[in-house]
Amino acid sequence: MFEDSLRFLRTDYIDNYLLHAIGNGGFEGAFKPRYLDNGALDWCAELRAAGRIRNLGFSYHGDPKAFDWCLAHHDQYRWDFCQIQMNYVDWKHAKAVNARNLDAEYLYNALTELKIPVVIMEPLLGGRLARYNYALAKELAPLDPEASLAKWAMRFCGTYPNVMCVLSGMTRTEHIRENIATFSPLKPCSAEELAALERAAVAYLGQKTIPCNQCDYCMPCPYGLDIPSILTFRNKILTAEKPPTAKEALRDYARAVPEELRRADHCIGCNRCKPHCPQMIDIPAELAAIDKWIDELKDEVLK
Amino acid sequence: MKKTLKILLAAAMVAGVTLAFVGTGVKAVDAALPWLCKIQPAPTYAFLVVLLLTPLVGRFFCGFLCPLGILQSFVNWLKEPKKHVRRVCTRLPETPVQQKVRWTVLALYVVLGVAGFGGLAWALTPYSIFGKAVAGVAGHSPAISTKNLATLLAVGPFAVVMALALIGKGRIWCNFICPMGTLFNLLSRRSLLCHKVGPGCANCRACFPKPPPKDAAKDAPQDAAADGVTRREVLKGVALLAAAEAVEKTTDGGLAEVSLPGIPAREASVLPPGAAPRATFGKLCVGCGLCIARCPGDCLKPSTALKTFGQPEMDFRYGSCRPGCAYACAKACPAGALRDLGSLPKRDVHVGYAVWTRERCLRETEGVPCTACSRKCPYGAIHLVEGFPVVDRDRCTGCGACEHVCPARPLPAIHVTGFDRPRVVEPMRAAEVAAALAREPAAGRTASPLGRRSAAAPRG
Repeated sequence: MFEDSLRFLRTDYIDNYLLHAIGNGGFEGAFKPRYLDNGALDWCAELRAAGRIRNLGFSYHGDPKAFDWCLAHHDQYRWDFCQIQMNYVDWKHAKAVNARNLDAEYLYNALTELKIPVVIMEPLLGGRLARYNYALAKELAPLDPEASLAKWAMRFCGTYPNVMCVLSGMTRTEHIRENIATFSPLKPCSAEELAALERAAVAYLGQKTIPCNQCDYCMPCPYGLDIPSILTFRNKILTAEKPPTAKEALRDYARAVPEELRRADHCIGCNRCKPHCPQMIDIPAELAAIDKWIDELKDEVLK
Repeated sequence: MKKTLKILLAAAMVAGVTLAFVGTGVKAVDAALPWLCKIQPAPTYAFLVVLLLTPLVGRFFCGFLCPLGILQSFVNWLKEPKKHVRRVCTRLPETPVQQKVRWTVLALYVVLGVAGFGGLAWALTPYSIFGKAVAGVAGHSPAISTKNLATLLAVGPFAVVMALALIGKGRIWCNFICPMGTLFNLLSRRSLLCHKVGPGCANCRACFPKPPPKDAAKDAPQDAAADGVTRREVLKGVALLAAAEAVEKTTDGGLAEVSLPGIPAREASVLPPGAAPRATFGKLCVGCGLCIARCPGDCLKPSTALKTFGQPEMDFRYGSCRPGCAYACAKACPAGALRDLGSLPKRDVHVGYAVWTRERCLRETEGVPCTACSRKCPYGAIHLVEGFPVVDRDRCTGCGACEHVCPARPLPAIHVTGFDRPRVVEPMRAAEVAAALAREPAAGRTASPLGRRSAAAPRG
């Protein structure tokens, strides 16, 4: 596989080689058989010694045992970097987003102690920290009214000195432009600002939004539902300053999912989408809840 | 001044009746507007009053209250704004053709009505024609606002009447065809307040607009041409719609294709809640489509069957009868065919029951553990037993939520079949149930106490 990669990349060495998401599938279930039992990790270390890998690292999601094992064997493998999910919500509240996650604060501190440079993924939580959200804006805008919510999230990550790189999915030129401006040079967050970000994180969690990042992995639904649009519509309502009236919400729903046949009531509960969701959202249950709420709105309009 | 007042009154009437269908968004106004429809030709007391007044004041209905008549005058005016056209005259002797046609239509109306084709009979009356068109064009029901036969049948007659007004002289429909017009004529022979024709009238028809200079033979092809244009335009519109749909399909990316289900063959059509018994309903309902335009659940469509033509029936392709809707259809009905059941909860009014068709169900065809019908039932009437949907007919109201969400194509695997009259099922109070159970011998042969007043145990 490594030789294939070199061939595809038309190179004879790789700068940063990453074992991705080592905790997914569990330590015993996936990490051990995939990297340890077959000697793959040792082989990677050999490749680094031979100069064909310049930097060897891993990224972490899932089973904490895998993370702890890697750190415990730092002496042996000398990790050159580690990629973790970090943002101002995951810093102290990762468990609230996903019970299997570890707080970024713990991950960062453990890595910093061993002087392993940190690469950050999901600095914007799949865009959810960049999109307009009243609760976030309420805490952050008074401190720096001109800054976008994305800038705040980026500055949070850049504040920590052991952060080597912040990875963010940018789809438009203005995203790139803004991120470059944020980091050149980066203004670290003050204690006051960090406190505001923490308050924003708490407010964000209080909204109980559905952790959908619109990655579309669940799509296409075999029964034609537009799952990401439905979930995003629900989040839009949850993150608004005040709940819209039933009439407004129904109008927005019709706009978000124009075709009636693609709306939540047509979910048949086959569960085929569920295993595809990286955020482990129980999609059929969420859709059923949304449909129930829509029915309540419809009845309210009739009153 | 008098003329202006007349025009204003007539315009207000057209606007009012139209708004009754379209809705104003103001609840009080929307609740009041159907009253304007009650004075229209329909089996109502208000219309009876109109009929009784006619011998006194003549065909005032045709001039001031009938939206179809008023619109014909409007078309006449558009065509020849300067000319005064005597639109309706009851006193002038009629031509033999005119007499033949109008008495035939009136006879047809009566015969159809008596023979049990109420929908067709009423479809000959002006309010029904006007209502169908407004509900078809401006109503909210997706069942008749998409291109289909229902729309054509709804708007077609209205278009014909207007075309006649445009092509011919004056209100052709009112003077030659309308069965209500004939009836009014009959009643207003000796009316007091009406255009008077003196004894010297020789029926010279000088008061009528001049006949067109061309002869009849030349007129005929012209009519055909006019007709052809409209037909072509309709076809063009349909083609455009089809093209738009084709474009949509190629660009919808990661979405699976969706299609509307077909309408299953029902053992009996499903009447809206509050409907009179089927036979009576067939006679009373004028098929104006006001209930269809007012339905918040989008679950009514005009029937295309001969016996019930234009009369509403449940169609669950676009929606279902909402548990929270307090009989919007019945509140709108001007004809008394649908009765407002007031505070009676929807769960106690059963219009039919759901029937599962095993061979269409995704469980059988695709082996998918589908739960749609059971989950969506607002009354908890569909139980999944070992994966099979079992309908509790004591609870099933025939609202059609299950049919609406059933993913089976081309026909849904669960459908509603209608009762001949909606059944009101009053739930027994707990104490009453306990008392009934206590009376019952342990291994009694009598029916369950719940079955006593339960009308929801339909037989085959």
